[in-house]
Amino acid sequence: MRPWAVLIFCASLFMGCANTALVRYEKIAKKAGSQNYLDAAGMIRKHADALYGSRSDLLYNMDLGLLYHYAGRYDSSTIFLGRAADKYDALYTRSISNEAASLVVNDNTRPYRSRPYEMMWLRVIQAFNYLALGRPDDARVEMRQGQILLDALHGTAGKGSNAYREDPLYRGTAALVYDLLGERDDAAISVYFAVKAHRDDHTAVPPMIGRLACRLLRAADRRDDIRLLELDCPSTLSGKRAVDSAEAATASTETGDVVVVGMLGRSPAIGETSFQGTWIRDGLLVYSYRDANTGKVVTDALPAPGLPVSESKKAGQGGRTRSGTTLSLKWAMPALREVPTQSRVLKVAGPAVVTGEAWGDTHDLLERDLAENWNSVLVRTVIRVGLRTLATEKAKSEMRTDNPLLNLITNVGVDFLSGQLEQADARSWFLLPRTVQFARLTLPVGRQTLQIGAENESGGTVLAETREIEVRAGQTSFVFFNSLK
Amino acid sequence: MNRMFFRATGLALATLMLAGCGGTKVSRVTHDSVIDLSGRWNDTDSRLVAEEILRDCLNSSWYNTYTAQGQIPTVIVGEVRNRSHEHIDAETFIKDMERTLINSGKVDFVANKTERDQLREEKADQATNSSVETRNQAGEESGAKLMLIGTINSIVDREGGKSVVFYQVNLELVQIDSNRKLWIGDKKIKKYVTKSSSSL
Repeated sequence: MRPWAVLIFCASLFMGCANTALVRYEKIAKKAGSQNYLDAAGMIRKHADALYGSRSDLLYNMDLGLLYHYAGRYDSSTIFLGRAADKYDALYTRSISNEAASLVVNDNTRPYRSRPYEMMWLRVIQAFNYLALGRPDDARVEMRQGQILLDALHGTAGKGSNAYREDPLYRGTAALVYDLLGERDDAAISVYFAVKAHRDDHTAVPPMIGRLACRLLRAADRRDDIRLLELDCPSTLSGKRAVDSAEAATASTETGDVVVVGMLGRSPAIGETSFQGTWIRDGLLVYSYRDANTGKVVTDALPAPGLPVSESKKAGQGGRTRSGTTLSLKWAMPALREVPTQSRVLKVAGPAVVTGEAWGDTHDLLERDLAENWNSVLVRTVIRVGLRTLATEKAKSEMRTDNPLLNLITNVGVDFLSGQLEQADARSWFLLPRTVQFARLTLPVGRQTLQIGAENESGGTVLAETREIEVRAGQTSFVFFNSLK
Repeated sequence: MNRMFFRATGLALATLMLAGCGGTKVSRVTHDSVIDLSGRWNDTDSRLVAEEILRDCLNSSWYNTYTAQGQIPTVIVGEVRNRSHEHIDAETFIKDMERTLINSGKVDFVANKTERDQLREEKADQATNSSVETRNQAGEESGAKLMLIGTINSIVDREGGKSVVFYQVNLELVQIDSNRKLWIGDKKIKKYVTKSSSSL
């Protein structure tokens, strides 16, 4: 008689009560948002099992790697992001038992495999780490790994307009890295795809990418590509932008470039929209709805059709009826959770003031990712809810007694346990910044002071820092700044 | 029917639980045993490439021409740049090359830049603190005549769980005074790596 109930009870114990992804967000996001990166990293390491568990091991390494990057501990960051990349590779093999469990319990029983753009951004941030450490050859390795990943994603991407097939941030960063290493062909190809990605998405090409494209494509003698991309390149490139010109040679002995990379704001997260409706067969419908963005739960009760008259009579005579029994349905779906962001614009003040250009925006990427996967998540949810409702009903029917009150207690208990299993997979790399912005300055050789800051939408300063930078003749230095507020 | 179902479910759960009770096992293997786990560049690749490519180098015609003039070549290993898709520790590869060169007995080998700095520091210290008889003089170093430089490149072709990784290591022996290239060699490694898409 009891096995169905035992199964549901065991499964609910197996999963615990709260959605770990939502708990993790509450615990970490606030600390990271107030720039306490090392505190947040310390907490993650201390509570790794409770906050991540083995199924989110990839995310654990991604989060730690990113926090160490924000904290300027680039060496530590390379270690954790490297581990994350290895774990991602190992997750290629899917466990049939995990997949099957997810159809009965929920999607959180599957290991987190990351969203496509997250892995690509991991490569980009790892390249930033290596650039900060003065190891451009290793940054190139990351860019090459990014290309391999993008090729693999091309093979698995859906046909919809939201499918992730290209990444302007990755392409632009690759162009910078290859250009830094003097590999003109690879740099030209990367910047070509960066511009093409913007053209395909019908978004404006950031001016810095446009200038880079003109210079690199011209240097690689790819004038047809300039035409194809409809780039508005000046007929002659003056100053340091000129390639192989005497003017550029002189300039490069007196000046150097500084690229400021700003990671601003916070990525949206994923929340859980859930609905639970319980029909008490004696004539009441109790429902509750949880909003993904606010976390607010609305619960209400409505009159509903009750037992047939014949059953009510039987119940009055003390016979076994369905009085006190329930039919309950709960489903939870992931939904975009907005995260307020003050840091909108990167400003760099040196001899002149330069405004940053956003090359990547996680809001857009996450929104598209959720839209792309909506149908498959919905199908899985419907199958899961259907299977579980059948199991719950079977368990309740086998526990039915002649006592309506006892029926109500056992039915509500089983519904509660069954409802605990239903969770949306709300895992995401929410520690990513909202935007990655770039600003390029040409400065005289020697020690220079830059004021780097993040501004809000109305131009107010959110965070500002002073940085001392050694500018080397004809070389490009990278400076990393972040404001997650 | 129900009983059968629950017994089968119980058995499956127990098997899954037991599958997770592995733990760490360590066994010692010989240093030159070939173990491929991930298909990435590993110590075996580094050692084999260094040995084979330098054997080719030392058996090439430049060596006879050079030694015919009564000179033993003095070599230094310069930069070996990693242009592959993997983080390869070039230092390990460089050390493998240095070992192969020294053990061949065919060339004189001088310390690299970092090591020279350390040695010069020691000589400076000796100049102040050591007795005259035991002191090593500055300005007595053997200068290298030839430098080995190179690159590690790779091409990856991947489809689903299958990938072919091709590594090519290029080395060049350059005469330091004249910049003449005396020898160019390469060594190629091709690996076929498969990954299962599912497991129990």
